[in-house]
Amino acid sequence: MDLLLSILILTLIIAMLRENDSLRLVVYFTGFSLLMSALYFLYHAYDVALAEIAIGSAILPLIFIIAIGKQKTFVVISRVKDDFMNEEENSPGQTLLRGFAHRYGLKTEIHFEGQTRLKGAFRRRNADLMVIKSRRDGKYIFLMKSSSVLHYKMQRIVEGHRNLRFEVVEEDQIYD
Amino acid sequence: MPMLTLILLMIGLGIYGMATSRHLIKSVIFLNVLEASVILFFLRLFTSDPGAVPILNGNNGAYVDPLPQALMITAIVIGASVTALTLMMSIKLYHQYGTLDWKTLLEVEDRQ
Repeated sequence: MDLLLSILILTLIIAMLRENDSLRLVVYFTGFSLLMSALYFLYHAYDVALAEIAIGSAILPLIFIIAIGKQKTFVVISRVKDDFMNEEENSPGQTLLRGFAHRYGLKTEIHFEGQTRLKGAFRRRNADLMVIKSRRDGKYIFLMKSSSVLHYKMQRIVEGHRNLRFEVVEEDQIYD
Repeated sequence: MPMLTLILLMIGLGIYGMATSRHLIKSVIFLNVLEASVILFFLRLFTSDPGAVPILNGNNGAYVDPLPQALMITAIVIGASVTALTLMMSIKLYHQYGTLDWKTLLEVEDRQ
């Protein structure tokens, strides 16, 4: 029994050494904690095993996942490059987007690309928001995925600006 | 004896993982592995082989020593709070520098 558990634990540690994805690492760590508490149980340390199960495989993974979830970025792809939205950080568009992302504790990343194909760009580039300019009325359109949690909040902000319009798209919808 | 081998291997792999991982979250996880190995070492050290649960019920003497067990519960709780503190600092680092890669973080520090 000892030997079996030891081999399993060593396998898990080596799997952790070779893994680079944080979320998978946390799952491996949960399994590792469960095996360790089984070992403590074998040494008649029942109270330690109980504490290890509660802390090592419930509370710690929760803290890890919360911490990893906070480390997300808000990716913006902009096809527009004029005096509303340019590479200066204090241009009105950038101020709006950065302030929005900062309120939800996200880091902003803005890419300027003139010729991005819109089809599937959300999934391919993992973008959260795209900025394009309407040919009809000259308004700037903010596009967000319908699956994004933040698009209700963004919509409310955009409604206060007269030169902006907000639209929700499906993930691989053709849009131009 | 196989248990002592496991403990030694776990300490070695824990230090190796902490020293060689590029990502901060991975280092924290291997810190936890190292901590678990120390707890296992203490429990192994004070367990007599035909041991019994340390509850008074007429068993003739062969009890497991309960003192290190009580200490190890404290160690587990303190380890959890150290992990929480480290992750909190990692969030702050991420918002300041935008990365959790050790190499990039050290380069940023060199530049300043």
